Amino acid sequence: MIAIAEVTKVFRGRDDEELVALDRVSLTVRDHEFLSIIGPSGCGKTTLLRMIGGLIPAEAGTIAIDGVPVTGPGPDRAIVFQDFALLPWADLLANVAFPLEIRKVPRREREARALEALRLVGLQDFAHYYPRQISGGMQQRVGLARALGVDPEILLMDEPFGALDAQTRQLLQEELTTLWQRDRKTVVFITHAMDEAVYLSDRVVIMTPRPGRVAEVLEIPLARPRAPETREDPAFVRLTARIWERLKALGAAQPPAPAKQTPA
Amino acid sequence: MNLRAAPRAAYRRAPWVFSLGAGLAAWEAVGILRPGLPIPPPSAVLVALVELVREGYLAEHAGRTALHLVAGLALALAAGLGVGVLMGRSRRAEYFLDLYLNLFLAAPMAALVPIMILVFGLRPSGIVATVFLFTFFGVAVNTYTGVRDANPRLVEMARSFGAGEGMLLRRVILPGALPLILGGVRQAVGRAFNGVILGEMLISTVGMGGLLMQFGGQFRIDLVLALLVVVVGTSALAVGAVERLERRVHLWLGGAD
Repeated sequence: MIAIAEVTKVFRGRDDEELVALDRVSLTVRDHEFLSIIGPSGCGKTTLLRMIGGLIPAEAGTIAIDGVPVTGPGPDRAIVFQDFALLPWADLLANVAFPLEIRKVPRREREARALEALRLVGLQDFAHYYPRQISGGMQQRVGLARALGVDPEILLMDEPFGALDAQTRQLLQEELTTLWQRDRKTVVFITHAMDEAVYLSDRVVIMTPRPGRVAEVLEIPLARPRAPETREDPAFVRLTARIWERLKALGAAQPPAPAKQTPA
Repeated sequence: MNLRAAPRAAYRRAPWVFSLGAGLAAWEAVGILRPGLPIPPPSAVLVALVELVREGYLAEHAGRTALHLVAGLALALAAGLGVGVLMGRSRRAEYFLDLYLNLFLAAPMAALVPIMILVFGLRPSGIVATVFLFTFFGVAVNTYTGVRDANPRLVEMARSFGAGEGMLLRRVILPGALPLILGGVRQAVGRAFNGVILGEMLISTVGMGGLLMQFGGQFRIDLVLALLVVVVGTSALAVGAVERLERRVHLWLGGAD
């Protein structure tokens, strides 16, 4: 269980201007739950994910995993990055094996485990390709394999399909839901795509920008296992529309912020 | 006539063969038409070169020069990499050392050779120190820049999986900085030749620099030019070798041909 309690994060710009990325955000992520966080840019969703990952500290409040406060990255968590973050000078096998190399797993074992992880995402025949030789969708499969390869309890996904075209994105959503249904890891999934959030999640958290706050937590009671047909379910359509209405209302209520305040 | 038309294939492959050939021919022609000029023609330089080899001068002095050069360059590469990595990874080191790095990069190194003589005396160590001075700062600044500008997304990825400083450097930061580091090494190799010749000219009477000084004093321009042909040729070959390495690294890092 991830317990996020009253977490606040303020970024200070060059002229000491402050951007409240997160304002007293509280949220509980249950074990084996697929939870998505959706919201317009500037709502602090990526900041929250990076804090759960232990990459940046909270300003105030606490994040605890199974009762233990997060103070840095840990082997219980693995992140899938929006821009894939693959090492361009390493082949796919070495990329997937990299976290295991960091953890000092012997070469033979880590390569066997990396190959197994590549098999999960259907890329076992591309083990010795380099990232530049494969498509964006394949690169993110490698990013997913790298995270799964360390067998984390919690998978943190930062807009993982945001940089992909619509077809690839849908394909990867289906692969991800199939993979997830096998071992039901706890997943925190950041997205700005409403259908993606509904299709994948048990719950969807809607956040508001400037300051970043939780506006609503929506249960997604769609039956599992989910499959392409799920998208035609009237409940799927209704839930997606519900999120859209909510985001639209939030967007209209907020004046557009000056661009310089948006964190990179 | 289209002056920008693509040159013939043979010319494109090795243009320097043609430009060098034309230059040498013109120089030789001037030598034949106007005998008695202070600058001897290429044929005379070639004769002088043969003489240098036959008398054993070249074998003796080139070896020493190579020793000075390799020692100074090796020290500069090791120290430059170390200081560059330190500055690229530690804000404190960066703030403290940046000023000195820039001062020394701008300073005319030749003016510092007398100081080397004061410190090391008229010994080979002074020559090695001169080579070091000529090469260290460029290697350090390129390493520093490359390490500092490491891809923050990859650094964050590695950190998220628990990478420590050593793993981060070895697998993420240094591979990314390699093109800049090698660019610094290439420049350093060229400058090392300048440094070693200058050091030998001013500090001792041995090595290629010592010979240059000696022949220059005797106004044996043919011998001076013959020595320069050897020095410049070797320098160009060494720089070319680093350049080939750079191209291989560029491909390895995912660049296009």
